[in-house]
Amino acid sequence: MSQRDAPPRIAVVGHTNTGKTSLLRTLARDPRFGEVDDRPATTRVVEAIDLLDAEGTAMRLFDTPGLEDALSLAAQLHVGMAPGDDPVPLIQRFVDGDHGDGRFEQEARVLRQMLHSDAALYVIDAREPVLPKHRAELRLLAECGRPILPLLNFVAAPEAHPDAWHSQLAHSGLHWVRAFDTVVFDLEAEVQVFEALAALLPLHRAGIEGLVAHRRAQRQAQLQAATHAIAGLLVDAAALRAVVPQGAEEAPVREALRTRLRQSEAACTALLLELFAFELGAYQAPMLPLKEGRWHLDLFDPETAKVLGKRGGSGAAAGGAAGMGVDLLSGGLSLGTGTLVGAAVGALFGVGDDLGRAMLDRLRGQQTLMVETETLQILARRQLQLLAALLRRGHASQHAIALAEEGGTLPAIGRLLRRARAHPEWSRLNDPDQASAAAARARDALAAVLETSLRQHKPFQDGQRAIRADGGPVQYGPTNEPKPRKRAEHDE
Amino acid sequence: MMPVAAPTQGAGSRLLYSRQMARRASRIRLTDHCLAARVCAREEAAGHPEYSPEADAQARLAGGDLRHRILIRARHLPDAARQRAALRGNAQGLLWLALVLAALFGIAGVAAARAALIASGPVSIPLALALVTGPSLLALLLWLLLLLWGRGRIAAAVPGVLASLGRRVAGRWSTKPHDSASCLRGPAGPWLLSSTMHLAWLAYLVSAWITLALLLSVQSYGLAWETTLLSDASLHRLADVLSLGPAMLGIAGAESLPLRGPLPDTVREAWAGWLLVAVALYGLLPRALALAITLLLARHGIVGATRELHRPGYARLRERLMPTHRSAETEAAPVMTSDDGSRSYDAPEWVQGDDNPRLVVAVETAPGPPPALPAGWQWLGRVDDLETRDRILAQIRAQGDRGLVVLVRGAAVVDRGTKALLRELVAATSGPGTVILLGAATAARLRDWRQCAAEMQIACGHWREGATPSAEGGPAP
Repeated sequence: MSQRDAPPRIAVVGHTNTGKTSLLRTLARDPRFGEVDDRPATTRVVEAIDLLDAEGTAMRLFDTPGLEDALSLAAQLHVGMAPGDDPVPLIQRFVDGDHGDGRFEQEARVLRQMLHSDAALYVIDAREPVLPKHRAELRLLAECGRPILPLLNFVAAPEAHPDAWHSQLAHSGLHWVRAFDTVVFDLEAEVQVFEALAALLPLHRAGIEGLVAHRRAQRQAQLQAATHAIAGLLVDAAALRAVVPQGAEEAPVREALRTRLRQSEAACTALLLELFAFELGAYQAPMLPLKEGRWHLDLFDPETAKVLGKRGGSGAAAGGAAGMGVDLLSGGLSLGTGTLVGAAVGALFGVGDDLGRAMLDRLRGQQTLMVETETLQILARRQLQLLAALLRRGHASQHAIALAEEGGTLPAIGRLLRRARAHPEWSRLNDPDQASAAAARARDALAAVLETSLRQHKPFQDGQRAIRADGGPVQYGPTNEPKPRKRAEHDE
Repeated sequence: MMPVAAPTQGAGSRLLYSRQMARRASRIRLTDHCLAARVCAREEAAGHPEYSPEADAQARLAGGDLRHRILIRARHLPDAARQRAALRGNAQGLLWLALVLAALFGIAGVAAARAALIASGPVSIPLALALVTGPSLLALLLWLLLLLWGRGRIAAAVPGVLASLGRRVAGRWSTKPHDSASCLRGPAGPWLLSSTMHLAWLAYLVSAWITLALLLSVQSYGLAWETTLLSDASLHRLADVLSLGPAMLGIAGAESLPLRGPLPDTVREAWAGWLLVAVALYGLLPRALALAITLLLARHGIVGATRELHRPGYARLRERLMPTHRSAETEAAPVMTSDDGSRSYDAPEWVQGDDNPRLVVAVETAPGPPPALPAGWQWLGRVDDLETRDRILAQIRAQGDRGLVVLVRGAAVVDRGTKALLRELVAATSGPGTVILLGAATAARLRDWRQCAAEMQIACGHWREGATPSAEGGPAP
């Protein structure tokens, strides 16, 4: 591990219950950091965390108790203070003193941490009106002589009024403000916060830029892993088959197929949550409305024809291919004869795995069940919606993700899934040990399509306002703040 | 692995030595890649990474990118030694397979070379060349065709076949028979199998070449380009084409040597030398090249497998091995406050329809005019800062016996400053006090305000927009 300079120390300060701990949770990608509650003074200690990149600590953040009585403290501190006095020694004396007989103990902790930090993030609940006590807080904090970057939290809430805050902060001499919603995550907003800190702390610029690059790379890696997980699920599901032996009941096989698919989906969901460091309770998967189609040779599927052509061309199965060709040409009228010939060839030469087997199935009286395309689309849509929701979920969010049950299909993945349906050897559900290179290529191709599809819908690149408009009502949990409601809903 | 101090002189050289040791310890070997891939497959099958705090810590300590950390972790897992042994077992199995095949093919090579030189008359040079190199070249061609068209299926099928063979052969002694072919699964598998086959054919060619060289050295053979079907011109063209390769190495061939007829000893020697070079060139060289390429591809496959960091087995380790954050320090003892949220809040409820004379003050409410107040209520203003506070306090004290209503924002946090202000306002009047919440308030906020009112022994109510003041519990009808 290479040596690096001491990382910047950033105090996270603000009025009580504005989401300071929530900010740290989101920046640390840790839904379990600190204590978050919809009550004042939830945080009563100064707690520090290090933000890490590949080389170690890139930044140290200090979560501080909320300021609660800045007006009274300011009145007490400023008694006898001349306009030309240096305020920093005054703050230092207060911090070293008895803190107004202990009345301002909480404020003293904040101010002490300010003095020991390189800069401060002043967290603002953008849904709150601008009040004199906020101005008093800003003045007190400014008197500590450290650069302050105001952060507007909960900006995605309908009742947020960031413009009023921008204007008021400008009155306090703070013209550089960043919006960062701790519940509705936006990587670009986070990057802007770090970039603003880098500008405020030029000595730490290189380290902070390294942190930003690391976080971008991590995000991309997470996204890739997630799309590959979904692609893996879809290929496995598309190629999944279950055989109903002759004379056996279909229902148990059908149920076993459903169970396997559900387990796969649950595993994929758990993996997505794990990849983005969310807890399992963050999402409750609805039951999968599963439909299975019987394997009806799927003659008109181009991929099936392709497989067939390849087999036919490979030599021994030319007779079988010709039989199928007749079926194709006559629209199925001579199905019986063609199938018989094909089945005989399949049985004799052991070629034409899919079609030969399916035809043999027919002769033997057994059936092969597989997952319908419609179900695959449902799976794809649901996992993509979950991924999109995870990409814009802050780790401070405490509401379970609820996905819309409706939505369009993804035509882009249809062709790839149809291909997979013709290759049962691709499914790890059929053979857990399979290591087909073609299956791996199919998964890669599908993952690339999924990633493109996500980017085109831009659920995680837009600004926060756009996110709210795109992603439906933002849900705030019983975090530090009350649930926002639309204005019309206020009068319940 | 901890760096070891050098038994030499000086702190500088000791530091240098320990850094070298550390570098050596973190050097990644091929077996590390195999090990990591094996661990990945195992953890993917289990659905979660193994609990291994020590290995994780070692990986974090080693630093570097995620891939490097994954490799270091695999090396330090508690059962790494067992896994290595299993890998060695795998490699040994493959090696045994290669040796047995090489031995069999070597014997075949000797037989082929011997057969090539058996003839009643002069030995036919093209026949000898074809007998020795022909099978190898044909097999090579077949391999190339399979590579192009049937690789996926064969690669998928062969490990299964080998595993089942392994079970039959070694199942009695092996505790985990399915392990016997596990090294052949994955991207390197087909190339390892190909390498084995190339090695076997190479053994065939080497033994054939040695046999040829030996027999040609110790026995006298009549060598000639014989034909029954071909014309002289065609035979010459064939000989010319086959001589192109040896000619590049400076070996005289068809262009300078006679092909048929009574050949003098020097010409026979020259053709014998040509035959050996041709066998090396057309048999040994392509096989050796194919072996080198497949070994390189196998290595590439093994190393490349740990580059697939999007695989669940690797991706799950990201946060463990390359964490986003870590707890640093807690700098102060908890602030002890009485507001722990667990107290009862039995504040008297403010009764609707109360139009007794009251003084009305607002604290931190939204800007704008006050709500429509009942008759008899006197609006004193909004307390925002110290100046308005002092003015309004003076007004309240002047009309001391009238009750006081404090309007607050329902969504506002009941912080210490607000409480202190409320306490001052209530203390300024000798009449009954009431706090009324305006606008929306969550259940938690309502609870906080009621608790605050209970502490100050005043009533508490909730007043929503568009409704007249009502008792706590809902808007007035």
